Amino acid sequence: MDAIDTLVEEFARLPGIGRKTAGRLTFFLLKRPRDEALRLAHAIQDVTERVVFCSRCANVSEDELCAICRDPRRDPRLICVVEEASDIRIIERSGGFRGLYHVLHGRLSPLEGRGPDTLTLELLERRVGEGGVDEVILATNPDVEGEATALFLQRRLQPLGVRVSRIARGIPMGGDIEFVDEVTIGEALAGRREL
Amino acid sequence: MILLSLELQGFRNFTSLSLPLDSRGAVLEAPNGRGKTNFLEAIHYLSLFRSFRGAPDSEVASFGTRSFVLHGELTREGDRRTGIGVAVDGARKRLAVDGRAGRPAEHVGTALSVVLCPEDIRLVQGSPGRRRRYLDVVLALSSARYFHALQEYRRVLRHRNSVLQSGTQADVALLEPWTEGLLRHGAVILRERLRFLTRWGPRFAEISAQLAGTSAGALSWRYESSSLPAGEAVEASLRQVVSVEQPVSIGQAEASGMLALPDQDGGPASYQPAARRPSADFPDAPGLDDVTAALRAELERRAWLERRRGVTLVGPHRDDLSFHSLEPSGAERDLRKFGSQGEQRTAALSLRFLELEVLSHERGELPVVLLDDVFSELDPRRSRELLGFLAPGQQVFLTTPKPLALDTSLDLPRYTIAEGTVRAA
Repeated sequence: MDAIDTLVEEFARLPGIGRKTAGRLTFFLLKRPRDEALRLAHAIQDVTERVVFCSRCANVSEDELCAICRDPRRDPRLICVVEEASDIRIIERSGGFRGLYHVLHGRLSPLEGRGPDTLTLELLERRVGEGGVDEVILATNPDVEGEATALFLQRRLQPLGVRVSRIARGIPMGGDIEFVDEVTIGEALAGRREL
Repeated sequence: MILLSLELQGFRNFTSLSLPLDSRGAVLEAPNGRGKTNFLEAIHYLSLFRSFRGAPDSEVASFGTRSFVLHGELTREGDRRTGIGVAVDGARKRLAVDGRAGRPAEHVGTALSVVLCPEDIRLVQGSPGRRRRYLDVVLALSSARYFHALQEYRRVLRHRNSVLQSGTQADVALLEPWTEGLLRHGAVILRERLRFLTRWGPRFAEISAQLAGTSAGALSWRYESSSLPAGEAVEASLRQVVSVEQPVSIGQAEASGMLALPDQDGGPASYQPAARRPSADFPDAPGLDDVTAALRAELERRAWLERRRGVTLVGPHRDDLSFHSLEPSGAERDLRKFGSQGEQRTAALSLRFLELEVLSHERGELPVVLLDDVFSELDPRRSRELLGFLAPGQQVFLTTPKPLALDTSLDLPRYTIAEGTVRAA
């Protein structure tokens, strides 16, 4: 296989990229100045060589501890559990959470052969078991697998004497009730809170 | 709803077809094997995005190919036109509504149609799966909540079975999250089914009596649940929840203006679902707790067997629906096993008419009616009854292998099919 085919193949492996797009990306890079393509190559090399998992929360990190776990202004009594490291970026962008995280690296999915041992569950239990944690917020996705994972974690964590909560779901901010589907409205009503 | 045009590419024997449609519908008259049913299948495909004959997409694509394209343009009274297109290529199915990409789940029922065909008799004499599917389709098209619960339930079920299959040693802690998901979505499905059956049972009896031509022909139905062994208690409590408002027939519905008819001033449709559906909306009805408790108890009772068999044995996916006629002696007869062909056909037709009526009622619009060679199976009286169930203005497509000998007011343009094209006869 020649060099062009190899690169097309590699691009096509990436999520959301088909063979057509892979070809387009390859030829795009060929047309650009040489150092531009090399910068991309180096960036990929850097990421794979330098990024490891945080030994406390399993977030992606370039050091033993990730930037969030190292930050002294963060509240270590609060842990927000997410499925993927990419979820952290989204929650961080909201600026509304000042605690620490825990990345599961997946969720329970028996159909895909994913049981609890494929998640960073032991690490989480150890963290909570060591004490100093008041509340664990379960922020797995609100779908079938995410709900099952949240319930499983709840059963495992509550005996450790920690408060376990689940993120709320309902009507999006700035949304108009008229345009929200019935199922979401039902959930929003069921999860209402007293004022 | 009125289908204004249909375009097919590579669908069954239609290599390429583009056809404007009459708002009344059409009679498709052609010898067998020309593709009459394929044409109806195409119209209905736009409704549920799969074949009503249960055929996989690979079979729906023209012989020797893997892809096909469908496009239909439809209109609702008082509403603008909607274009709905499906493109299938191998395992990939793409959908566009008014040119915007969408997921099939979001647009199921956007194009609303109901098929009546000779195979419907299997609704009665066939496997329980067919009867569950009937309930699921009618309820999913009537309620977004049901549709959502059904999709989630199916996913939870597959995961749960997968855990159960991992052996008798399957960890209780591993099973629990899936059991809870099963309860949560299963209870919604179960309650909605019971509610539907309670509410529409009287209409089912009326329709079957009308088709039989005698009040003695009135049929009843009963829900056979895997999870409500002593089911009466739960059903009784549901009966209290469901209001006693009589369902309206299509005729009444029209008279009250609840179907999508234009206002006097020609403005938008005046359909007011909230005012006419008091019994269908109890999001937090007490029934849900009862149903959940019954499901939970039965799951616990059968837990050991589920482990041994490695499959989920309790839940709406194991339930059935039975149809009964009342003997002069007062005894009931189960038509699934002991019904004559004629009785089974009457029951099946009644189910389809009820489907038309329920969807008209819940959706506030008339579904397109697709009649696939149904008259050859019916005597003239039943054929007339059948046509009597159609509402004025309802679009009807019917197929027949030979000229119809019906003396009816049904005035439809006639088409014939030859070599993959449809022409005026």
